[in-house]
Amino acid sequence: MFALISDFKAAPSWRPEVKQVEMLPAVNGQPSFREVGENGALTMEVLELKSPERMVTQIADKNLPFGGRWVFEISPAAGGSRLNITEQGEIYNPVFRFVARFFLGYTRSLDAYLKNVSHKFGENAVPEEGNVAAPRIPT
Amino acid sequence: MLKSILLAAGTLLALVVMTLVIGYLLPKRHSASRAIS
Repeated sequence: MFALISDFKAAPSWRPEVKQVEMLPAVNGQPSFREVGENGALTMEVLELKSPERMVTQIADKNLPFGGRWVFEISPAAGGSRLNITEQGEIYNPVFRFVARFFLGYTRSLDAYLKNVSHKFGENAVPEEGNVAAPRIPT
Repeated sequence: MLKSILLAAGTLLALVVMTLVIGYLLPKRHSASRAIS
Protein backbone atom coordinates (compact mmCIF):
# COMPACT_ATOMS: atom_id res chain seq x y z
CA MET A 1 0.00 0.00 0.00
CA PHE A 2 2.83 2.39 0.81
CA ALA A 3 4.35 1.76 -2.62
CA LEU A 4 1.05 2.76 -4.23
CA ILE A 5 0.46 6.00 -2.35
CA SER A 6 4.08 7.14 -2.62
CA ASP A 7 4.29 6.57 -6.38
CA PHE A 8 2.99 10.04 -7.20
CA LYS A 9 3.76 9.81 -10.91
CA ALA A 10 1.42 6.82 -11.25
CA ALA A 11 -1.54 8.52 -9.55
CA PRO A 12 -3.49 9.19 -12.79
CA SER A 13 -3.70 5.41 -13.35
CA TRP A 14 -5.79 4.88 -10.20
CA ARG A 15 -7.14 8.31 -9.21
CA PRO A 16 -9.68 9.32 -11.88
CA GLU A 17 -9.76 12.94 -10.69
CA VAL A 18 -6.02 13.32 -11.36
CA LYS A 19 -5.29 13.81 -15.05
CA GLN A 20 -1.54 14.35 -14.96
CA VAL A 21 1.38 14.46 -12.55
CA GLU A 22 4.60 16.31 -13.20
CA MET A 23 7.52 15.56 -10.91
CA LEU A 24 9.37 18.71 -9.75
CA PRO A 25 12.84 19.18 -8.27
CA ALA A 26 13.12 17.79 -4.75
CA VAL A 27 12.57 20.16 -1.83
CA ASN A 28 14.75 19.54 1.23
CA GLY A 29 15.63 16.16 -0.24
CA GLN A 30 11.99 15.07 -0.50
CA PRO A 31 9.86 14.59 -3.62
CA SER A 32 7.81 17.44 -4.99
CA PHE A 33 5.23 17.30 -7.73
CA ARG A 34 2.39 19.10 -9.47
CA GLU A 35 -0.84 17.26 -10.05
CA VAL A 36 -3.37 18.48 -12.57
CA GLY A 37 -6.98 17.57 -11.96
CA GLU A 38 -10.53 18.60 -12.64
CA ASN A 39 -10.16 21.69 -10.44
CA GLY A 40 -6.81 22.87 -11.74
CA ALA A 41 -3.21 22.29 -10.71
CA LEU A 42 -1.92 21.72 -7.21
CA THR A 43 1.75 21.78 -6.25
CA MET A 44 2.59 19.34 -3.50
CA GLU A 45 5.70 18.65 -1.48
CA VAL A 46 6.50 15.68 0.71
CA LEU A 47 7.47 16.48 4.31
CA GLU A 48 7.91 12.94 5.59
CA LEU A 49 8.42 9.65 3.79
CA LYS A 50 8.89 6.82 6.23
CA SER A 51 8.25 3.53 4.49
CA PRO A 52 6.15 1.55 5.08
CA GLU A 53 4.04 3.33 7.66
CA ARG A 54 3.96 7.11 7.40
CA MET A 55 3.96 9.86 4.80
CA VAL A 56 3.11 13.55 5.05
CA THR A 57 2.35 15.71 2.03
CA GLN A 58 1.66 19.42 1.98
CA ILE A 59 0.19 21.88 -0.48
CA ALA A 60 3.07 24.08 -1.56
CA ASP A 61 1.08 26.72 -3.45
CA LYS A 62 0.90 29.98 -1.53
CA ASN A 63 -1.70 31.73 -3.67
CA LEU A 64 -4.67 29.44 -3.01
CA PRO A 65 -7.61 30.16 -0.67
CA PHE A 66 -6.73 26.97 1.20
CA GLY A 67 -3.71 24.95 2.24
CA GLY A 68 -2.61 22.24 4.59
CA ARG A 69 -1.29 18.74 4.72
CA TRP A 70 -2.31 15.12 4.70
CA VAL A 71 -0.79 12.65 7.16
CA PHE A 72 -0.92 9.10 5.83
CA GLU A 73 -0.52 6.30 8.38
CA ILE A 74 -0.50 2.61 7.49
CA SER A 75 -0.81 -0.01 10.18
CA PRO A 76 -1.43 -3.76 10.22
CA ALA A 77 -5.06 -4.85 10.34
CA ALA A 78 -6.92 -8.14 10.23
CA GLY A 79 -6.43 -9.57 6.76
CA GLY A 80 -4.35 -6.67 5.46
CA SER A 81 -3.61 -3.07 6.27
CA ARG A 82 -5.36 -0.01 7.57
CA LEU A 83 -4.80 3.34 5.90
CA ASN A 84 -5.61 6.36 8.03
CA ILE A 85 -5.39 9.84 6.56
CA THR A 86 -5.61 12.98 8.63
CA GLU A 87 -6.21 16.29 6.91
CA GLN A 88 -4.75 19.25 8.76
CA GLY A 89 -6.27 21.96 6.67
CA GLU A 90 -6.38 25.72 6.56
CA ILE A 91 -8.99 27.79 4.74
CA TYR A 92 -8.00 31.42 4.44
CA ASN A 93 -11.05 32.74 2.62
CA PRO A 94 -14.14 33.20 4.88
CA VAL A 95 -16.57 32.34 2.08
CA PHE A 96 -14.71 29.08 1.40
CA ARG A 97 -14.74 28.39 5.14
CA PHE A 98 -18.50 28.84 5.25
CA VAL A 99 -19.09 26.59 2.24
CA ALA A 100 -16.70 23.90 3.49
CA ARG A 101 -18.21 23.90 6.96
CA PHE A 102 -21.90 23.88 6.04
CA PHE A 103 -22.10 22.41 2.53
CA LEU A 104 -19.06 20.44 1.36
CA GLY A 105 -17.64 19.07 4.60
CA TYR A 106 -14.00 18.34 5.29
CA THR A 107 -13.90 14.66 4.35
CA ARG A 108 -15.00 14.62 0.72
CA SER A 109 -11.46 14.52 -0.74
CA LEU A 110 -10.28 12.06 1.90
CA ASP A 111 -13.13 9.67 1.14
CA ALA A 112 -12.56 9.91 -2.62
CA TYR A 113 -8.86 9.16 -2.18
CA LEU A 114 -9.49 6.21 0.14
CA LYS A 115 -12.12 4.73 -2.17
CA ASN A 116 -9.65 4.94 -5.05
CA VAL A 117 -7.04 3.10 -2.98
CA SER A 118 -9.57 0.42 -2.17
CA HIS A 119 -10.65 0.06 -5.80
CA LYS A 120 -7.00 -0.23 -6.85
CA PHE A 121 -6.76 -3.33 -4.69
CA GLY A 122 -10.01 -4.70 -6.09
CA GLU A 123 -12.01 -3.97 -2.96
CA ASN A 124 -14.89 -1.71 -2.04
CA ALA A 125 -13.98 -0.54 1.44
CA VAL A 126 -16.16 2.21 2.88
CA PRO A 127 -14.19 5.03 4.55
CA GLU A 128 -14.93 5.44 8.22
CA GLU A 129 -14.01 7.88 10.97
CA GLY A 130 -10.26 7.74 11.48
CA ASN A 131 -7.87 8.60 14.27
CA VAL A 132 -6.56 12.13 14.17
CA ALA A 133 -2.81 11.99 13.64
CA ALA A 134 -0.19 13.33 16.00
CA PRO A 135 -0.24 17.07 16.69
CA ARG A 136 0.33 19.44 13.83
CA ILE A 137 3.90 19.92 12.73
CA PRO A 138 4.80 23.59 13.35
CA THR A 139 4.77 25.61 10.11
CA MET B 1 -42.44 46.73 -7.93
CA LEU B 2 -39.67 48.87 -6.48
CA LYS B 3 -40.48 47.56 -3.04
CA SER B 4 -40.06 43.96 -4.24
CA ILE B 5 -36.71 44.72 -5.85
CA LEU B 6 -35.49 46.46 -2.71
CA LEU B 7 -36.67 43.55 -0.59
CA ALA B 8 -34.88 41.02 -2.82
CA ALA B 9 -31.71 43.11 -2.87
CA GLY B 10 -31.83 43.54 0.90
CA THR B 11 -32.30 39.81 1.43
CA LEU B 12 -29.40 39.02 -0.89
CA LEU B 13 -27.18 41.55 0.85
CA ALA B 14 -28.13 40.11 4.25
CA LEU B 15 -27.23 36.60 3.07
CA VAL B 16 -23.86 37.75 1.74
CA VAL B 17 -23.07 39.62 4.95
CA MET B 18 -24.18 36.63 7.05
CA THR B 19 -21.98 34.29 4.99
CA LEU B 20 -18.99 36.59 5.41
CA VAL B 21 -19.51 37.13 9.14
CA ILE B 22 -20.03 33.45 9.94
CA GLY B 23 -17.17 32.45 7.64
CA TYR B 24 -14.92 34.98 9.31
CA LEU B 25 -15.82 33.64 12.76
CA LEU B 26 -15.20 30.00 11.83
CA PRO B 27 -11.74 28.68 12.74
CA LYS B 28 -9.21 28.92 9.94
CA ARG B 29 -7.74 25.51 10.73
CA HIS B 30 -9.46 22.16 10.86
CA SER B 31 -8.54 18.51 11.25
CA ALA B 32 -10.42 15.58 9.80
CA SER B 33 -9.47 11.94 9.72
CA ARG B 34 -10.78 9.02 7.68
CA ALA B 35 -9.62 5.46 7.28
CA ILE B 36 -10.12 2.19 5.43
CA SER B 37 -9.07 -1.30 6.43
